[in-house]
Amino acid sequence: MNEQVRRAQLGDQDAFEQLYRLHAGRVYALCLRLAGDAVEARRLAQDAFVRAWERLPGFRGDSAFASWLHRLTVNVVLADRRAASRRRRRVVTEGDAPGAEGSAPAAEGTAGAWTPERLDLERAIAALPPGARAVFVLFDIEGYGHEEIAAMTGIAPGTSKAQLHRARRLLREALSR
Amino acid sequence: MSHTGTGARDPDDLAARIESLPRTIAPPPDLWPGIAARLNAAARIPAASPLVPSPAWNLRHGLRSPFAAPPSAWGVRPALAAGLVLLVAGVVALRHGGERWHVVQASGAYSLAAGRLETSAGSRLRLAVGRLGVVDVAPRTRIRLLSARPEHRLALDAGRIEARIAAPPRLFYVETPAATAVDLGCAYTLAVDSGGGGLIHVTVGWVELRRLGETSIVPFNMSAYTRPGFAPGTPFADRASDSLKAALVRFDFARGGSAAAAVVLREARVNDAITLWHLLRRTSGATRVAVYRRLAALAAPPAGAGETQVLALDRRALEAWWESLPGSPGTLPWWQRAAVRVAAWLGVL
Amino acid sequence: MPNRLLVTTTLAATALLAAAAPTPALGCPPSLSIERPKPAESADTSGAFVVVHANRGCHPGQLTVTGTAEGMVAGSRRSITLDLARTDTPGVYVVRRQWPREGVWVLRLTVTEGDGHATALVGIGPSGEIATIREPARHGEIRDVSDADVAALLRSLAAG
Repeated sequence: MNEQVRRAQLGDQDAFEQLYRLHAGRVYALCLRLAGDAVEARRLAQDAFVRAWERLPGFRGDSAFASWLHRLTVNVVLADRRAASRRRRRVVTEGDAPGAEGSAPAAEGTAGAWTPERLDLERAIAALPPGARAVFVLFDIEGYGHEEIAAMTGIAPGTSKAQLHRARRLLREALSR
Repeated sequence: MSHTGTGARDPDDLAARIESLPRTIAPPPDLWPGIAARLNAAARIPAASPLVPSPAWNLRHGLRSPFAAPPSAWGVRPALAAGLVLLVAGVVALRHGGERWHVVQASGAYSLAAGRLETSAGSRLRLAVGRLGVVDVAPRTRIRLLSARPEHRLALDAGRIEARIAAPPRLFYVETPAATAVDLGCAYTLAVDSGGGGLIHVTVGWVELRRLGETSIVPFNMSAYTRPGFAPGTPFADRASDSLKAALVRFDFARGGSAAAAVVLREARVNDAITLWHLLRRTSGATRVAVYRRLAALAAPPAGAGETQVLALDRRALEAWWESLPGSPGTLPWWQRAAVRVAAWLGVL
Repeated sequence: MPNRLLVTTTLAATALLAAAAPTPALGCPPSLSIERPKPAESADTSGAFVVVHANRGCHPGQLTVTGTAEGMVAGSRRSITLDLARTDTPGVYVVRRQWPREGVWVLRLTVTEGDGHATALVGIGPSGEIATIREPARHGEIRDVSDADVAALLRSLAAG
């Protein structure tokens, strides 16, 4: 087990901050794309790291820490979505575009700048219906399989495939306009 | 499906654009401060344990021997001259035949069945640990006698015991919900509360506490807390300040981190060298550097324990420094170790 | 809590006697405990064949631990000096497999403290697993382990 993880397990907050520095970009990207909203993404990324701190003593090192943290983040976001008591309006404006709030898009840890093409795609992803967006992000960007997505989201694998197909169709339509 | 405009014209184009998306996105710069604030808000001294120190801490009061009656209540305690006579005559105060556990003295009602021993509010008893020594069991204590061979092991589920072992190390083990206490030839008091948390105080010799792959070595005149789900607490000296003790509890069990460590370092004196030695392995980065420098100021590192090696947690370097610290087995004169062993054998500890 | 004056005076008396008496008469040698490692207990002991705990007795001097693997492979005796790896706990060492799986072997582990010493033997059978552990006598008797003891144990292991 990585020394930083071990120290963080014992309550060393400095070590946990080092883990945060290593993994925050990935966690935030996941939250942003799943939530489709920068404000929500910030809150969810915080929730994910706080949950990771609480659950860290139970991490036994039988998977890579990054994988464990990634799976935990997905669970945090999906659980938050399920628990939402009201529909969140998904209106993608200039201010809501991923990366538009507070920091330069091409900040450290981001591979590549925010080109118009990339911005179009990110906005199109954010505009997807929540169910389709979740499956698309998890399958096409994060590399999970349909069985795994089904287990995480509580839908059937067939539904996952259908949602993916729908997401891709909507994205092509959006990007064709 | 028709495609117009400059967007994704075909599946391959969409796939290529997806592939080019970065897997990481820089988070807002205030994300970590928000996380740290939530972690610190959650950090608090564990509540509801009678063993956690209050500002009016009185360790000695809390750990007064359950047998507060004068020594004469438990048999003859030799004066100096009598002690010599006993040594010469070879009279054994604590030897008991056989390897099994057995109750040698008791007052009040207690139950002992199927290896489970429980004392009532008004009872106390003395248990012989084979030929190794004795365990005094306080009122309202529950223990389980686990084994007598190859080592003597008992489990302290709740209450308080006082163990006095005159035997080579690692022959007597006490399991608690939070840690295993390994006797290294000594006398100590161990208490466990209803939540499974524990406090050990060593009066003679050393005790090793083990759990979750971590070890704390507790020398004489030092104590350590334990809590279920956490590694054994960092040992602290009887003479450590209340502020140091409270900060150490926050560090060990409430994610106190570098802030709590800073208080420990600020309060540490020469008697706290063992505490700081343990913190070397329990800290990292700048905090570990600070621990090293404070410990070096209190107890100069010997040859072979340079800053680079120690900060890298080189085992040889750490062991060399351990052997030179006041209170470690390496610094107790051999004749004192011998005297302690003989005195424990006589039963005067 | 014991009467401090009584403890102090008794300790002083016994210390004087201890200083005057030859140390072997105290029956207080250093000791060794051999532990089979628990799976995944810690990264420290991962891959350990045995974990060796060394503790001080009452002899003046430095505490050191050394070991050899004495084997009988296809009728020939072999001897390998063991590398004992330190762990995070002072006095605790890990012995990882450094001898071939063929044949039978005895690990001869010795702790030395000044002129005091104690030896433990770990017998490894034809299966390559631990067949027996013989730790130093536990009640102050110092009994040297001789080459003949090792040879006898090897014969016993080979005979199954």
